[in-house]
Amino acid sequence: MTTNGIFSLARAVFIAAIVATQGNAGTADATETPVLEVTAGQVPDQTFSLSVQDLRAIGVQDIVTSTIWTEGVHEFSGVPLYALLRHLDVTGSTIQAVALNDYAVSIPFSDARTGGAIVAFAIDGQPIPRREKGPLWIIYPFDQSPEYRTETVYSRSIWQLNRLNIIE
Amino acid sequence: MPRYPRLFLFLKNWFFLPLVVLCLPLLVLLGQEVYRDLKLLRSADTDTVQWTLSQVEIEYLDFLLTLERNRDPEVANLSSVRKDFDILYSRVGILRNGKLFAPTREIDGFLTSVAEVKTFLDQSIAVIDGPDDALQAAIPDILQQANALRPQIRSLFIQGLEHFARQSDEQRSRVFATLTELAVISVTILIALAALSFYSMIANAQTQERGRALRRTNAHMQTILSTTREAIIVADATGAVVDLNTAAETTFGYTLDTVKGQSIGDLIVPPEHKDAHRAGLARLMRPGKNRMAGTERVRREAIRADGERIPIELALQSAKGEDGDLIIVFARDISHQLESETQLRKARDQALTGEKAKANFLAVMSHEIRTPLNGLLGNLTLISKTELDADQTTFTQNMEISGRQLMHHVNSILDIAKFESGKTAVTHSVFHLGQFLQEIVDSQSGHAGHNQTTIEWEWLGPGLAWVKADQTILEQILLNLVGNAIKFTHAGRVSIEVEQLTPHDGDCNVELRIIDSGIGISEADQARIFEDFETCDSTFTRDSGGTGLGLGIARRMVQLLGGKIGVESTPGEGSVFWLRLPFLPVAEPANSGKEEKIKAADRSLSILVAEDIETNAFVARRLLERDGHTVTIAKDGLSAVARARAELFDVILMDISMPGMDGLQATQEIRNAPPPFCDIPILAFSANVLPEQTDHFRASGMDGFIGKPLQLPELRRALQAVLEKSLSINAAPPENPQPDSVDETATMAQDLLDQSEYDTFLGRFLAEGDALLAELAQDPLMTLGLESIAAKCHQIRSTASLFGASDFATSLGHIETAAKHEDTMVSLVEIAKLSDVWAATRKALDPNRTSAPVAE
Repeated sequence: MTTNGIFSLARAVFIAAIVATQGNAGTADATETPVLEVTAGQVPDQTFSLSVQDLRAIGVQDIVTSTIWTEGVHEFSGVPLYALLRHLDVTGSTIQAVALNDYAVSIPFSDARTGGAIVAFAIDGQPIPRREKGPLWIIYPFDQSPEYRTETVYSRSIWQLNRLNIIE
Repeated sequence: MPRYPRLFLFLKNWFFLPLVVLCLPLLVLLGQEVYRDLKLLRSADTDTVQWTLSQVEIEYLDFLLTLERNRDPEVANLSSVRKDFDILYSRVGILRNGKLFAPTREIDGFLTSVAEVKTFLDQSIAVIDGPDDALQAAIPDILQQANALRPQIRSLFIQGLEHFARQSDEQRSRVFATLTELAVISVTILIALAALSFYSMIANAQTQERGRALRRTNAHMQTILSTTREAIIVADATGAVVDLNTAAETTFGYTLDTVKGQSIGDLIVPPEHKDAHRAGLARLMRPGKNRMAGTERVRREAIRADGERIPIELALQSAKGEDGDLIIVFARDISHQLESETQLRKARDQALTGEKAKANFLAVMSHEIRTPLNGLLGNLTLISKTELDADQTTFTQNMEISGRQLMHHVNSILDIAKFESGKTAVTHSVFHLGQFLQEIVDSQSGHAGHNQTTIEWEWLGPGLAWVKADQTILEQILLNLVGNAIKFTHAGRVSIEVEQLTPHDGDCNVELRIIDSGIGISEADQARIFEDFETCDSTFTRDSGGTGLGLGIARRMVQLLGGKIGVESTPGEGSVFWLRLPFLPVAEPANSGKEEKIKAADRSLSILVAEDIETNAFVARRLLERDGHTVTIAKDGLSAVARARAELFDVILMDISMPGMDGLQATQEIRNAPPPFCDIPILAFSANVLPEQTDHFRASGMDGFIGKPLQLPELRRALQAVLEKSLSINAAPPENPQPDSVDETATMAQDLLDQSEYDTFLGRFLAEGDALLAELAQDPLMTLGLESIAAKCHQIRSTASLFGASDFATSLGHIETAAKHEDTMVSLVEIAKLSDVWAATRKALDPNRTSAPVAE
């Protein structure tokens, strides 16, 4: 284990403490329910649980686009993937995204960049119900660039997302 | 080069390019299509579709499984039921609303199935979201309803798959078709491009080859232009220099760099020619008129850079250049050529002057030698008439022989000189060859008789009668050859054989052979006897008195006539001299017959004779009176005119040259007289026999022409013509045969005059002759002048003819002609010869009289 590792460990413990504090102090609001679990492989047992509120606190970005799964153009709001990962201070080569139905897909770290994917938690300003592919949905700016309109990218646009595994 | 360049050009222009041009937009369209198709493939929604479709079934089954597991309330986990419901709901929502499935929703079965599944899900929401115990209780019911949906779910999957499989098949075949089209068009374009590049390769090769050929040609031209000695200047239409070659730089002393663009006129045209140059330039450049093209070379003067003037030979050409018309000047410095020409001309003039001086010297010297020689011989004759003893007689005879030999030599040299000076002219006349040869034989028979030698002539084969040739020269040649033959033949035979040549030897159609049975000539001598001053035997030369010039002169004469001469001989047996000469056979002349007697006029005519020379007048009077005519004599032109205006004559015989008013003037006067005096026929009566003068006579108003001396046939014919009013100027006077110094057949004076009259006139003639000879002997050119000489000769000539002294008359005629032509040289030569002829004439006319010294 390196010095880096010790810092990371310390930071993880600190964050966990905050989350725990929030959880303890939290109300029964749906937005405070943990919806996303993030695991980082470099430190075993390091896991983050994040609610929609947590995600919104990290930063919000809107993407206005159509999708192949929906009808018409919608405004998707969410936290940029890169902002999320930086906030959690996790690194790796691949992000394994897992859905409620256990659908899993690998997203390269390179997709976590400015103007790239977001973890959407609202459509047209409304939270996304689980029945309508919520509560979290990885959305790429499909309409903005043809490079996002590929099979690979569609496969990465996982809905009913509930876990991210950071793989070294 | 392609074999069919036109076809090639056609293909190039009308086939390949449009093909490519047409194909390119097609290619762009296809490219776009391919891109679109590829984009579709890249987007590849179909995989997602299949995934989603299969997921519907899996999630449906998951939902069923979850429902099954949670039937038992003891172990029930209702949140998992709710989760799987939501998952299925979300999935079906995609089928119902997703953009991806818009096409499949067009299929009735698919849409119905989706609707039924959705209806089930929507109906189930109330229970799912309801309280746990209600949900627990409803699970068997929900399970039953969900189970009933199995065929719809299945059909969804199958129909969707079928649709997307078909769609993907269509897309693949469309892509295939597009790619095939693309390939076809690409190949076509490739072929077209290959053809184009092949063509451009060939064209490039051609261009390169042409370029190389052009460079080669240019290099050759450059070499030629820079090495030629011809100066070449190229100027534009305004005369400004564009280019010079090396020779031009050398010739004119300029370099191209310094004169480029300057006016050619300012550079090389001398100031005095500048206007002409400008005018010429303007003329040259006048549109539509290319005067200079290929002008001939002209000589001009040009100025060099250092101001020196040089003569040049110049030719101009114009040509079309890139920037308009060009003038190309070809010039050559001809200073050297002109210098050489001048030197050559000078050398030629010097040579000619030298030759002329030599000939003049010879002529003058011969004359100067002959005059005192004549004096010597004359005095020798006088001495021989005096009382001499035997020795003295022998001495004088020897002296006379030597003197005559000397005279002969001098005459020969004169002949040579005459030939060398080129004064001898060939004069053709018509004569009878047989008669001519007979006369030669007759004249030489006496001479031959002295040597006991016979002489004769004959035709071998068919003969020619009348021919045209130079009778005088031929006579001289034959007399020389026959004279030689007689000289070297003693008690033998000389014969002249004449034969027509078949075929002709060049122009020569007759061969004359002079055959003698004399001493012959050795082979060595045969080769050189035709050279000047060559004789066979020096002892014999002395014996026979030859100069060695005779055959040399004969050779020159034969050559002059266009013939050949040669000899064949065997020493001791004799020699044959042969001549090959051109004789033009002609018809017998109308007035040739000597036997022809023309009768006297039928009636008596009254005739005026204008004649200043008394003898001639007297003879004419006698001749006419004998035919019964009445004759009036006028002594000069003026009195002739006076008589003709006073009395009506039938005819007038008018001498041409008379003192005061000459015959021509007198004729004009008479023609100006009132009728009927002006209409009298006038016959010119002159010794001038030149054909061109008869025209002159006619122009002066004369009606006919009678030659002097008067000859009866001609006179009678003319008078007959007067009577018949058919007078005309006869083209030519009749031929005068001149076989000897005195014409025995034509001594009319003797016929017409009685002895005392004849003696008187003869005495007068001889005195006149002596006087003339005396005058001519005293440097006649200085004392008399050519004009006076001509007049005197003319005067005596007519009288000489009257006495039949035709040789003398001929000689006088020559002098007269030469003097009239102001030919000093020939005049002197003829004058020098005259004394000999006069001596012979005098001797023949007056054998009884004491021969007077011919010259003092």
